[in-house]
Amino acid sequence: MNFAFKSIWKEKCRSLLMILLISISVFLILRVVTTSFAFKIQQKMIKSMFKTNMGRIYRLDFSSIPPGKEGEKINSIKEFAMRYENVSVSAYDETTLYFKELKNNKEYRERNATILKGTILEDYPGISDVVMIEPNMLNYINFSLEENDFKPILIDGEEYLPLFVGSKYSDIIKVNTILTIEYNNTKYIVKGYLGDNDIWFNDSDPITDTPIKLSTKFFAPFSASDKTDNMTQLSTVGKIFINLGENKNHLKILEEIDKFALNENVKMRISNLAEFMELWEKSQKNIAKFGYILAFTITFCSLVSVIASLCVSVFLRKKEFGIRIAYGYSKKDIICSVIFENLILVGISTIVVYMYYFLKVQAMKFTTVNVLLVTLKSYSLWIITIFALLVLIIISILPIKLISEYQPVDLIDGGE
Amino acid sequence: MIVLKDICKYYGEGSEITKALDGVNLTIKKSEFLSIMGPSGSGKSTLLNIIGCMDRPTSGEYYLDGKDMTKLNDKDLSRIRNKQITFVFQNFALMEKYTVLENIELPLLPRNLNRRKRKELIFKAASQLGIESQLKKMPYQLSRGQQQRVALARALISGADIILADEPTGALDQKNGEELMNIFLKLNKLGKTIILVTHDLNVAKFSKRIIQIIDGRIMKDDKVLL
Ligand SMILES: Nc1ncnc2c1ncn2[C@@H]1O[C@H](COP(=O)(O)OP(=O)(O)OP(=O)(O)O)[C@@H](O)[C@H]1O
Ligand SMILES: [Mg+2]
Repeated sequence: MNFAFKSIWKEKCRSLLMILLISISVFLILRVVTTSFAFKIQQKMIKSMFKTNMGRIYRLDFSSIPPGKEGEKINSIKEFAMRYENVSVSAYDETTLYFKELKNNKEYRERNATILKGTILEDYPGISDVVMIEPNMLNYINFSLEENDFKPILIDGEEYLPLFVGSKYSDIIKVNTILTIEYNNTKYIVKGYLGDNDIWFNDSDPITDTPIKLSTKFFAPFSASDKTDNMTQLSTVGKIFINLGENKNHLKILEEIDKFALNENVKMRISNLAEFMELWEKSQKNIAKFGYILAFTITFCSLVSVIASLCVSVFLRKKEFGIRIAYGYSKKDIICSVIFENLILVGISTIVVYMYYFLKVQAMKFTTVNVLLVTLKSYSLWIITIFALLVLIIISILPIKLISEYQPVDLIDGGE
Repeated sequence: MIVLKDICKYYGEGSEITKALDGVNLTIKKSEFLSIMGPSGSGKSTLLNIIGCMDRPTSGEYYLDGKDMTKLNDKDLSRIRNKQITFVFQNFALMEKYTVLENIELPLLPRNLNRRKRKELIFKAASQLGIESQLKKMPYQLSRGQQQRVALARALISGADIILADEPTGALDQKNGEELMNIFLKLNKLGKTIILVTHDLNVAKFSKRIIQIIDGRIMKDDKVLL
């Protein structure tokens, strides 16, 4: 009864052109929707990592520190701030290093080779990617572990620091394994594993960059020697948080910290995390706005051509429709079939574009959480479905109106 | 049986009005072979289209086997066009993008027939008209005479008892025209009702009754003796 498939097949070239035009629209919309919603998801994710008010957490950025004294200066500022009641200072840093026990372990190197494939560390399968933290940070960060989990452990008079290992290595590195950092000989002991749902701030920027998954990382406290190491302390810059908590005179405290830093010959900038996030959100919104305008303009143009082409097609098939009506179709059948034709075109375009984008995003090598993929599976899927339905309605209205205005007799005459 | 009572078809309004049909009363019995003649613009096609349920009259009553056609909805009318009435057009009205087979198949599509049954019926109708070897071709690859046979095969496959033909010989040469009329005669002998519109008295002579339309009115209604 329905001749939609046949019609599409008889007009292969036209149909392909339509699919191409619709696909362009769908792709542009899908991309702009996915990136802007991925941003929202990422922002929500980062906000939810804080247990306490982000508006009371500041981060320290240094623009100049007397050379050779970086560790010392940073530590003195941290210690100064900590003297205030309810104020805590903590830092984190992601770094790559060698554990003596793993560096030449065949199993570990093989596993790492597959994990690091396609990244800049591809050629160093013996390396380990470690997130170092000051455990007091966990007092205001939502995480599956607490500050207490990072207390040093004494075994036979020797001190070990606890270490948590990404679950991707769980079959190779057993609990209670001792791991020694090659360059400073700090000894760690494996206390447990972290999975895909354990996420941490990005090393580049905790606020603007996507959080990382810990399932392929190591998670450990800084060692005592790290605290005085200039390089280590420098690399925490931008990732040092001061949590002023609910102190009433927090602005005054900030001022005093600033003054102290100046006295120490350190040029420093203190920025509020909540404010920073807001600023960033604004700039992202502007970028997204431009993306939306571009996508909608191109979509508008391509849909206009699709509509024009569909109208021409309906006009050219006037005689065919008339013949069908003469031999037993009703006008409703014809209209349904034309709608179905459009549904097939829109459907193919949408599915192909979604699959393409999905596979592309899935294949991306991410050490961070794949927020694009998360968005594609949630918001994007719904929005693109609604968009496809809208497109179907928009491109069908005019052709249907054309057909419904035809009288069966005119249709037959149309061919004479 | 077809009964038309006071059928009018008007186009336009007020002073611009065209009375394509102006009070047509006509009864056509089963198995009649009827010709409608008249000058151009007299309303012949309009009348045929109303009988064929392709068009609705402005006023009047139309009974097909006792059922009032003016009261039916589009869906019911499409069923009548599919099963009870079928058309043969002057220009053959073949779908150009579809093969001969697909064209002949058309009336079977609204019915729930499986592919094999459809193929069987198509082949049967095509063989009756000697076009069984042309099924895979496109309409433009056929001669005019063959094209009209395809159109006729499509009309026959529907199994409808009433065949409406608007100038079916208009686009054919004399030989093909006569052949077509002989087929109509045969079909009429098999019990089909045939109503044809024509300008050509030689064509009309094949029928058993000729009506004359002038300005939307029936002026003459003759039984023809062969
Ligand atoms: N859709 C229409 N709108 C307005 N007027 C129409 C329409 N269709 C037909 N007419 C008019 O109705 C009258 C009858 O037309 P019809 O086609 O029935 O004539 P006909 O007898 O079949 O002529 P011909 O021999 O040329 O085919 C004509 O005057 C025509 O102009
Ligand atoms: Mg006519």
